[in-house]
Amino acid sequence: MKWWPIRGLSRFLTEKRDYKSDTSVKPMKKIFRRSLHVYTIDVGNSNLLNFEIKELQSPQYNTHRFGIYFADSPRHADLLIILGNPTEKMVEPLMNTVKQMPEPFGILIVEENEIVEENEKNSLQLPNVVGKLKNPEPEEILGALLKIMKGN
Amino acid sequence: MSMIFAYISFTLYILGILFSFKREASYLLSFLGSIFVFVTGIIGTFYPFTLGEIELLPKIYMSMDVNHLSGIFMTIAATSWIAISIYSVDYGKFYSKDMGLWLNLSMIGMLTIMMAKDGLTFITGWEVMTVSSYLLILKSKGSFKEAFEFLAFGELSTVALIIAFASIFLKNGNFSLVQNSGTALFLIATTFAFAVKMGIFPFHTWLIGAHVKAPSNVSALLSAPLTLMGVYGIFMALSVMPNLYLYNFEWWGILAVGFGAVSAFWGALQALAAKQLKTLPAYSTIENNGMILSAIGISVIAIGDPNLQILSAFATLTAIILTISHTFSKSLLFLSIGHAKEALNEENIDDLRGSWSAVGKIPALGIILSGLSFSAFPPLIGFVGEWMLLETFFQSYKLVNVGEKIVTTFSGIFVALAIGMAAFSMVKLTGYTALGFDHGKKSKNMPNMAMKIAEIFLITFVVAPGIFAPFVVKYLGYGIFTSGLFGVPKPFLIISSIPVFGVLSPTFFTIVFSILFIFPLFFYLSRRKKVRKIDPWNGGLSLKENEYFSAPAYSAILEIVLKKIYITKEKISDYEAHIEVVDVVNLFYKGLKSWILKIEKIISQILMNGNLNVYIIYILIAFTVIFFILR
Repeated sequence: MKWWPIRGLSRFLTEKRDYKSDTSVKPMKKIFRRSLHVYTIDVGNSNLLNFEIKELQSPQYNTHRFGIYFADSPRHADLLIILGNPTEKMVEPLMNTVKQMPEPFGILIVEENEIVEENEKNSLQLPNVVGKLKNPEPEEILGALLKIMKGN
Repeated sequence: MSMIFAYISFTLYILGILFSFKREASYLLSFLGSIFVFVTGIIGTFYPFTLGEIELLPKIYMSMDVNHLSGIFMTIAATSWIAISIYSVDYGKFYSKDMGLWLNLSMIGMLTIMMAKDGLTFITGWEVMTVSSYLLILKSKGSFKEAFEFLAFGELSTVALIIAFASIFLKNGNFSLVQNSGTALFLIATTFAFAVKMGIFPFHTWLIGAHVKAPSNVSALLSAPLTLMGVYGIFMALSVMPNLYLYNFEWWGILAVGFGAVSAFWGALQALAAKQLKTLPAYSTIENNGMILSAIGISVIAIGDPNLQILSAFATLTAIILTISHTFSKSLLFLSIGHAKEALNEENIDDLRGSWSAVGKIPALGIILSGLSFSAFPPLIGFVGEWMLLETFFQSYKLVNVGEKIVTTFSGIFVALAIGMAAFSMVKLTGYTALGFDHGKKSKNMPNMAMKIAEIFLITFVVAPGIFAPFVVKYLGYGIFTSGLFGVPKPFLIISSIPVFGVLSPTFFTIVFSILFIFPLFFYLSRRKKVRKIDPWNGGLSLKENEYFSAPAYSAILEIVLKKIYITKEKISDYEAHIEVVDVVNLFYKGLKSWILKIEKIISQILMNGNLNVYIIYILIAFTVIFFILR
């Protein structure tokens, strides 16, 4: 048996840091408390948010230890993260993706800045929106995800 | 008394010919005529009778009768005719008025064949049937080549029949098929003729072209009752052979089993790769006729051994049940497919998707049930037939001769493979045409009441004889093969041998199946939550029509694996690749045709070279030869 994990756990070698998020999110169902599969779709951002999301999988944040996994298909995902404000051509793929999500699911909107007016965003009428982040750090995203999982 | 029904049916068909200027009247008359044929068949099955006799020359006469065998076949054929006639009331509107004429005439021809008591009547009926069917195929545009191929093969079998009846005349001095004894030549020639008509392996190419090009009601007529005439002919020819068990006719049986099994295998194999709507059922016809022939073959092998009389009788019964199954299911399949095809105006299996929602539930149900019957789904009639066929093959271990054993074993393997592949191809057909996604197609607005009635009529004939198969066995006169065992009451169990070898009770299977499966299924269906239907995931883009999993893709894997048999070739046109397969037998006929054309050209260049002197010499020689012969 490999004893490194036990040693690591006993010495508290893993980082004991709280990831806090200021944004208010709606908690999802209790079944996601220990595992959340996430699918991200980029509907139009300046690539900044893509980097931020990618950071979450790096050793620095290592979301896997909280049970947050990135899925390859919306059919496997519990939470859809929408990056950016939808451009004209991405509206239809976005709606198709939302259709593919299995029930129950949530949508987390991550925006870059506040250029787009609220009306245009609301016209899409996305279902089950659990929260909105604006120009977040990876830390903040992770905090929001953990908040969603915890179920308050 | 009972012959009146036969006369009435003839009269009604002739009236149908006369009334062909009014479409509906003509088809309704043929419908009434077929009902009378049905009744005549039932009467004739139990109380054989003879019809009038016309003496042409001393000892040469034309006569008709109905006996047990022809009664059974008349009932089977009449069921198909009734459905085809009703169907044509609506379907015939798309074609010219003389279709009713030829339809009635071909039915008269087939009726004459089944009632024939002597060779002359038989050949008359055969010719009437062949020629009128040829004219029926010509009714759809651009079908001249296929119709001519049909006629050529039909006349080939007529020539063989003439040889056969000449041999019988030489031996006995008349053409009668009742008291006479046939010769080996008679058996060979008739078998060849009827095998050509049944579409047995190397002679099946006419069938594919004709079935595909013909109007759908004519396809049903060609596939079910017309090939049925071939089966009836083989039964007739065997009944003419006296005391089959006294002479050694095992070689005939072995040949029949071998050719039948190869034909079944080949038909199923090509049906798999079929891309056109009616090619698949056409190849399925070949497969079924092959299975029927192999069953007859085993019956003839076994009849030579006094210990195997029961196996022989069971094999005969198997052939008849398979015939019933094929006739009913194939008529239903062609009629339903024709309905869907006409409504959506499509040619390929892949294009005609989702007729359940696009065309209607009844034609789709027709396609599904006939497809299930061909893929041996219990408790439909096809299941009973194919179970009996496999039981027959299992019992071939009882045969004494080693050669017979080897042939029947390998034929059994081929037949079993054919049955499996038939299920595969029928899933392809029903899965796409009946149950596939319809892509929002709209069907053409057309009168379809009569079509639906015909389909419902045949659906009952596919389902009911399957569930009540033991009673069908009893009706056919094989009561010894029904029994009661394991708590199943007396006539509800079919046994495959005495003492018991294998048993089947479709009736009780249905009951148990419905209790164990259907009722829980309905319970589940009624209580299940609302289901969300979505397209397949395609990276957020919606699927185009050609991005769905297509019917050619379904069978492509086998076409690629069996590359050597299918001669699979990949063809690229307009940046789109597709797979093409070939029937090897077609290549053979193509080669034959080109050779004949070459030889013809050479001979014509030698004989008709435009040189006057050569012509005169030719005339002189011909005159001299004839002069000396007729001196």
